[in-house]
Amino acid sequence: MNETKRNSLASAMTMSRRGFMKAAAVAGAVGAAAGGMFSAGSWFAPAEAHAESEERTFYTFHQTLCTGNCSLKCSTRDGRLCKVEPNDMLDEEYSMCCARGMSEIQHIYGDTRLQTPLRRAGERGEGSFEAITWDEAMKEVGEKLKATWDKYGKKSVYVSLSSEPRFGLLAGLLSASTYVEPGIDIGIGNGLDPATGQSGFYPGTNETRDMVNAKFIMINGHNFAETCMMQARNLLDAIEAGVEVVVIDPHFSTTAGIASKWVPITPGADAAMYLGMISHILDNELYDEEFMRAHSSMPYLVKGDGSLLRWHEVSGEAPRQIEDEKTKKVKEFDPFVVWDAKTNEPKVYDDAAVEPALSAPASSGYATVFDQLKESQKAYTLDWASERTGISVDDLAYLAERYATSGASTLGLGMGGSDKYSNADVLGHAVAILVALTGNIGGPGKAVGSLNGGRGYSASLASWKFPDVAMKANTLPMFAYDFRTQENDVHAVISVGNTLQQFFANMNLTEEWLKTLDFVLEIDIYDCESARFAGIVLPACTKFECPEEVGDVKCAANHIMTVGRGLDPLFESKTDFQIMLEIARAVGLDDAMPQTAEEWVRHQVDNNTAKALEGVTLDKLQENHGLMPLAGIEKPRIGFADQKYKTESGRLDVYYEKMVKWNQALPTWEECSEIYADNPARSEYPYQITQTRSRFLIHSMFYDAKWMSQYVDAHVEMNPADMAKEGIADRDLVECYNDRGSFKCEVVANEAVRPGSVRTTEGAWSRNMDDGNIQTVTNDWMPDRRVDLMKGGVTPFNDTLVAIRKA
Amino acid sequence: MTKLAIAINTARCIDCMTCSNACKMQNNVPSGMLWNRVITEGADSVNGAVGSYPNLTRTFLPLACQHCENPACEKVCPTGATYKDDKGRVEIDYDKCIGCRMCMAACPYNARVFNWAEPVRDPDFNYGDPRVPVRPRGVMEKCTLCKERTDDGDVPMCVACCPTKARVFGDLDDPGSEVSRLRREKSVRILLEDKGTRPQVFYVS
Amino acid sequence: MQGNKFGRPVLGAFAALAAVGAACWAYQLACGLAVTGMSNANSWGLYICAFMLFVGLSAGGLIVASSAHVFGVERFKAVAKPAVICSTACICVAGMLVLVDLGGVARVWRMLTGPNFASPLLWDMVVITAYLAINVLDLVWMQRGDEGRVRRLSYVALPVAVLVHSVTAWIFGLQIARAWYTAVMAPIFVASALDSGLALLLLALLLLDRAGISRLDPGLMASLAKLLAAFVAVDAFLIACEVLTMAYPGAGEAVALSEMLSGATAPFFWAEVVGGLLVPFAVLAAAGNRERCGAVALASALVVLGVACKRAWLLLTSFVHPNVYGGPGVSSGTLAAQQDPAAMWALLGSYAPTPVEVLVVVGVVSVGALVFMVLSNKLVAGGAAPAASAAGADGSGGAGRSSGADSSAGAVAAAPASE
Repeated sequence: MNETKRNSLASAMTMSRRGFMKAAAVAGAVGAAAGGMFSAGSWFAPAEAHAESEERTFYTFHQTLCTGNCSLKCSTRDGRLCKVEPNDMLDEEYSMCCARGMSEIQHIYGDTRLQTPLRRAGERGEGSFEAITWDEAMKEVGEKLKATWDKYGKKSVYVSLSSEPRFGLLAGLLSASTYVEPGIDIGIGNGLDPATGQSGFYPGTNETRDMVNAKFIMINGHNFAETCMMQARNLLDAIEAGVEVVVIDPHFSTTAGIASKWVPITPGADAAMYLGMISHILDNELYDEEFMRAHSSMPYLVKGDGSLLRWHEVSGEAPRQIEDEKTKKVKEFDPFVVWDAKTNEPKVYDDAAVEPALSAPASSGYATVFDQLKESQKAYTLDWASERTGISVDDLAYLAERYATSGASTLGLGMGGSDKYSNADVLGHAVAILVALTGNIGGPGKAVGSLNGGRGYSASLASWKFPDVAMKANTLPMFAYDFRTQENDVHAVISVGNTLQQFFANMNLTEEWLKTLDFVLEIDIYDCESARFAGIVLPACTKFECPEEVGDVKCAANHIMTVGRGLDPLFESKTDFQIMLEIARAVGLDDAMPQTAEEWVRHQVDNNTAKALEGVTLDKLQENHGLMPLAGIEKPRIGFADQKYKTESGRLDVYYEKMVKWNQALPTWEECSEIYADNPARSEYPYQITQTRSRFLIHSMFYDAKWMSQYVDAHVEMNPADMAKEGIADRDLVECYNDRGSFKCEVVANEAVRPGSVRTTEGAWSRNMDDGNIQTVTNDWMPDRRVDLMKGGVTPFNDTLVAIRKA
Repeated sequence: MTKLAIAINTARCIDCMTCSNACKMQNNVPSGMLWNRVITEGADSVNGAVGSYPNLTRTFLPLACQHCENPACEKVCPTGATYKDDKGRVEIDYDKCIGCRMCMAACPYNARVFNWAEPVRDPDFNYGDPRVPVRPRGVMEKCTLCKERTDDGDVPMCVACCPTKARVFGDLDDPGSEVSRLRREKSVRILLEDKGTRPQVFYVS
Repeated sequence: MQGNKFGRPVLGAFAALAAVGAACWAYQLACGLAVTGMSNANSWGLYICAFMLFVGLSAGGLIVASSAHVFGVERFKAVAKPAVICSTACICVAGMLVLVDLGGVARVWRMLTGPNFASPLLWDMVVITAYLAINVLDLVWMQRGDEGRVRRLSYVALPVAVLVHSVTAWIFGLQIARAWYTAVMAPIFVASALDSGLALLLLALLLLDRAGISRLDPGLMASLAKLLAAFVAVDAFLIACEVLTMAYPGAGEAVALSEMLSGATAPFFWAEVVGGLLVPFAVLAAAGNRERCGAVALASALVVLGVACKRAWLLLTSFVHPNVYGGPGVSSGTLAAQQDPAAMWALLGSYAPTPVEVLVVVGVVSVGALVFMVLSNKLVAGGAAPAASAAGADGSGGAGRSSGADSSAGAVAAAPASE
């Protein structure tokens, strides 16, 4: 990369950092560098407790993105953050803070902090910047946004928002286009959630505190112990209670290491495993007929063209008019049809008197979904699945049998592993089938989905009402990754967080697109990769910096919690709320905004209508150190306990009519787009590269936290056998490359890594690499069927082949 | 008498290093060293494993001063800077330490860390508990069992912060304490038991 | 030839080296021991190696001198004074090496105000001090010609000499944490002291002879050389005992052993075995060689170097493998670790002395050399007449009993006469 130009930003920052240091000069600090020969600190000074200086305690919350949602007790001394601990007001069950939380003591003062607003000084992408004042910056932001509006309209501004920053009002304020994390964390949900009617992010149906009630827990492509570190105790409690936990993962992950059993699997073949399991369950009739009849679409009748038979086609009755409880909107619903075993004729599916047949007689002219499933599963024998997954037939059969017959099985699915293959929707769909066959949902110990964040109770806070109804966030006209290759109307991007690196694979293509934009505004706390592409960079501050009595509020981890008055924003940074207000002012919309963060928070809390927050006001919350439990959290949440799903029929709808044209009405096997075994490109690029999530990082954050650098740095890991083949040694500098791009870093030998794979942690910035960026090699292939997938195609980051050589 | 101790359930350890950072923070531990670290036993790296793929095992071992009943470090200290206190903790009187590093050679656990240089901190001020003495260059330091906290009846910071509740702190001389119960009832692992140091930190799984 | 002294240029050169060493020590005091190659994983280095070596080297002189009285080896009396000077210089060096190794030398008085009598380091301080005192007394009484006191002191000096090496050995040998933990450590230290100390004494005597300060009787040389061969054999035997004991069970100590035989410290081990034991023994085993100054000097130098190598493998091998091994390792605490958190770990202990460390040792050894030369100048060459004549008398007696001694045997005796 461009060393000198990178430095210009660094030197601009160093200058103001020094200024800061002077301003915040702290007495009593023991010599920073090697002291003088007879410096008081070393020779004769007795060891004394450090000076009694003014200490203050405040409460805030830590990251949302790791889903830990820890509420923290913080101490400052002489105006500096000196201690971060779990909030002692919490019940022990929830009182926590991990190594990253504590690392903030250094991290918030770290040398990658953006200290002043910056203006690009060279070409976009070069990373050359000059420090400017907030006034200059906001003037330019206002002009650029207004110019874009005038030219292309408000929807032409795309707010690319990471889930971490607290910029909830921004897209609405600007009437901009936005979308939550396009192409990310939705791969499995695309296949699983249509069956349950959930969001598309396949949230786990039970809370993790319920894990202990399971008899059998299968965790697949999910490094739970790391990515759900604050809930790891729930899994450990379950293991301690004797629950059998099997982890299916290509690598011997941390979670695999603590599980009862680890089943290694060929990367990209997870869907094949589930298809094999389904066949075994079908062949051995391990399914739960009662459940299928009562709660799934298995008995629905399918017509010859693959579409589902509707009741009006049989009865001539008009479709039902159904009013949505919340929105009061009326929707038409033409009910599904089942074959009544008693009367031997088609009946409406929800007629209580009917005994739905799982198989329709040939004479009926229809097949049930279940019939179709048996047909489509014929190809997926255990031997077939074993060949693809590398899992023995015995192990596959065992998994199927245990999952189907344990009495209470939980299936945990992650977002950092198999979710990032091009066939993740097939995987998710197969899981939906497995759940519907066995009824492992809606009861204690019966759950499915991603376990991130513990999946506890939630409560909605009141949302801010803009005075103008036109002020609302607009859904993107297309998935953001398509901006790079298709005609579109987006001409300005406001990126909050490191989204330009993190949301897109094949970074060189992203860079090409960014160069065509009129304006890029980057808002972040740290000088992340995305800042490199921006015209203006605005420095935000951490949740430890809050100049108001209260700065923010959220409901998470079964609690409502706030950010209390902490440090003043460091350097020249501003809080997320202040920056939103600055932008509002710059475009003349500040009247539409709450004028203080406290006003916004008070509105959200005091006007809420959530049952779980009954009686909670901001004043009460503040009396309670900014933290209160939600009502009714005593017992772990069990989702769908009433077996009512948010689908069209209210049941587990596992037959996807919409996908008939893609031959995915029922899951059919599809190889990954790139890492499949017979890919001819493998001769050139023999290794799958996977970006795992680390307990020491949160996506691309904390690489620059010195206390975390003790445990993690940007490198790739390989199996020693592969390294021997490539003639590389432990800690050699290597280059990973393919025809999309390349990056250079150290390689570490690790037996826990599957031969044939290169493993690295997610999101390293270019500065953490010896050269290049991991995201330049990643695969951005999309299936054509993405247009009909619930959340569009998933970016198949882990479906990437590379070659590796000594650099 | 009091014999303060920690039981660590290695089956509950997920190598999150929270205990390491909690200790570093609480005790103002300088850069480049840790009083409390977690190793992956027998493996060559963090995230490593023992064996060869796919026949692998992994044990995380949180490692700090074992507060031995028969501390090798105490005996060899020429000035009595290292001592066993009335609560059964092995402590260091930093004012007495002459930096000879006899104790470091004597400790079988590599639990001690030395201020080879003028201590440097990042951030560059004294963080953590203000009651903790600041150690100068040329002295030895190590886990004090959070002396300042445990004197006040609090549990050590690593115990308070362990996200998986893998650590239990208590008094081995109190037969009713949880640590005593674990020591009696569980299959206990004593690190390097053959060395006869009789650690008060012990491991269960 | 008689009346020669170590000249000013030589003394000046060593004084300069000592000054460089002192400056480096000052630098070390200013920056801490971080300027050495030591770390939390490998917490002792060149200083302690050199300390062990010089405690051992100091043995030869006092043992030879005391043996003259205790065992009535009259011949040895001829070299008693240079022997004790040599011994004194070495023990001073050893003492200084302990001090330069301290991280908190300013607090060293704590050893006096709050001594922990269980600490082998404290024992060592006591016996080294006693040892130094004995050396000094011995010199004083020899100088005064107080033969009776010298004789009586010898009965104390010999056991103290043995004790010094044993206690130094126990600093290591009593540590159950390390591969040092073996009962044979003290005998090995005594044996190493005997061979290396005697070897150094021979070198010193040859030097004094060469410098024309005092004459070395070839007969005496031959018999000392013969004794040296015997000591080397004993040393080799004890090492063999230790290695076999480490190897035979194939258990815990096999790790350290493999490091010694084929790992990081193997070069030192094999250098000692071959260069420090086998070769010098072979050289000295031939009677003819024992009368050749060059051969004796070569063998003696090899023995000293061999023992120096032994100190390295003996000390450092134990630091290589932490007893509780696993990634990321031991937090090293070095300067590099302070600056880069990713570089703070050491899976295995490793060590290489830094230039500062080497120069400090050179400086300290130079001080020892100065002590030796100045005392030699003062007490041996043209020293006080009574002592010289006493030595001369003894020397001639010795020469007399050594049949076949060449005619220059009388040179030592003649020295005072010519004054």
